[in-house]
Amino acid sequence: MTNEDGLAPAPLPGGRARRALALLCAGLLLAMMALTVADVAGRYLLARPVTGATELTELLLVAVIFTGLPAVALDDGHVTVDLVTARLPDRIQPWRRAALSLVTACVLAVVAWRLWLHADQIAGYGAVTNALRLPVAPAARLAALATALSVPVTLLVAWRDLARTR
Amino acid sequence: MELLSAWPVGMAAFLALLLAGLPIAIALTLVGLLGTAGLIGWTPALALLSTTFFEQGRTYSLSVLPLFLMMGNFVVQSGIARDLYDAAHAWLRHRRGGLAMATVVACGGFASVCGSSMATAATMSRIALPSMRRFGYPDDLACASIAAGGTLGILIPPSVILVFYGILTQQDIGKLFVAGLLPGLLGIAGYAAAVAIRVRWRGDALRTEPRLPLAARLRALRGTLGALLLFAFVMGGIYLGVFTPTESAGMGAAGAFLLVVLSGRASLAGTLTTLLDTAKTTAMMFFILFGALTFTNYVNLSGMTADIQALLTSFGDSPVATILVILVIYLLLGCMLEGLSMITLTVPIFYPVVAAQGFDLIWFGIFVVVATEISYITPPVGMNAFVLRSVVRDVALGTIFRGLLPFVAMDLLRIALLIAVPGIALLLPSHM
Repeated sequence: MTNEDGLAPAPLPGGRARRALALLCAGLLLAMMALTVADVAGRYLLARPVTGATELTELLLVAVIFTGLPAVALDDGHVTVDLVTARLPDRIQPWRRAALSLVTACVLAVVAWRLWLHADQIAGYGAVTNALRLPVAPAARLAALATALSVPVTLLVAWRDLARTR
Repeated sequence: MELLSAWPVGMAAFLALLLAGLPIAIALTLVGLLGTAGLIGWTPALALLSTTFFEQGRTYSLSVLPLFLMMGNFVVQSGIARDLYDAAHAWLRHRRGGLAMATVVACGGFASVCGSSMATAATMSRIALPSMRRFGYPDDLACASIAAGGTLGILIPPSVILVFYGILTQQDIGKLFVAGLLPGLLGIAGYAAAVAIRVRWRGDALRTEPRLPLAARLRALRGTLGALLLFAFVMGGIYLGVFTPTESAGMGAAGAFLLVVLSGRASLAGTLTTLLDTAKTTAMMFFILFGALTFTNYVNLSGMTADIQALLTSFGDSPVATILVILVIYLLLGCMLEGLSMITLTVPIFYPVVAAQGFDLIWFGIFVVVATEISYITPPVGMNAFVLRSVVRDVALGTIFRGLLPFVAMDLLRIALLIAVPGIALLLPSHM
């Protein structure tokens, strides 16, 4: 939230990618909202809650968290502390940011790798949700893929910033 | 890696990375992973990583966070902030400094349906500032009343920061919300008093308007009906136990969406932006949470909590001494970190310590949030002052911070009261 004092991010190439992400996130969030409403209304009005509402919400939550991540990377939207760095000369800022993006990309790559292995593991013992018997592994695959997608996005954004200042 | 098994080294590495500008989520994950690997080896450390990032993300109770974020963002989109301000204005316009008081009250009202401090400050600045400027309010007073009023966003329920605290300490989020209500109202009163004191002290020549007749004042309240109903529905549902916090968040989001539709602002582009923002904030916050949990694994394994506990009790065995030391730490850290980072970093370390000293963890949550509110309006990293600065480009940060002094004084008074009379926070939740 410290990013450039709340300035709007610079427009990026990939308006279509952003729109696709927006539509996907919007669908997931609205589904989560509608599911809660249907569950509560069903419980109080019809005495019949939605079967598996809890586990569907859990899967939707994972999906929202991880599909939101490439969007955060696209807008360089992570929370950072710029107390010290704001005072550094402008000349070195792009290089500093590029170096940090590299670290960020490496950490995200490790997370993506471990999530993929975790998905293998869950798929291996065939984990399913309690009520609806939905397989859990695809959700972990999605998480791994979305995190992996954030790696090149992070690097591309850093590269663009570097290219722009030179 | 072996080096990181000593927690002061890990802590120093973390702070260095943070100050270099590495995203807090990444810094927490990196140091947490390396430190854990140094203590227990790579295989279990990497296994813990995937469990934290996936299995913790797949926890039903955590869906409360995106749903409350969505509710707050829909409330912003609905434009009810304008109605709230108009109503507060109608009741307070004849008082000296009345517009600044109205700003504080409207911020409090907005906070009751929005859980973010920065969203509250950003939204109210677009509405209250032009009006105060038109009436010749000095910039420092006008900006400070919005920046300070905005901090109420994280105390008056719903509150994203309280949700975060509840997750980190496994406390009941509903109780935390209800506990924030009285301290939040106290905050509104304190800020209004800060305006009055400042106006009298500085002798600002402020124009006032004639008092509105009662009928007109009552009419102005009509616009607040939507916000009032939404608040009553969400918080009433939690308080009476009709909804769990997660359910109330989902119902609140739907209610806020209804407000957007009724206001005629439900354009496709606007709604998509609102939802994409919600997803981005969700991802950003959850990665901080996952990072914090990874880091907490490391902190627990490294024995840091016991060391800090020994350190804190060395200042004297009384609980009050401990809490005062913690308060000083928060005020100092607040100069360096913004709220969410401060909480994710400190709460996992402090809460076992204060629990061992016999403090109620619901009370401690409110204490932490009020301390965080102060950090939002004190230099050099007062986030709400930055928000104001990004909206009004022609006012210096120093001017805003100068104007905030009486508000910070009121906050310190409030936190002292909270320590002296814990019932301010604990009275309402004790009836749940």
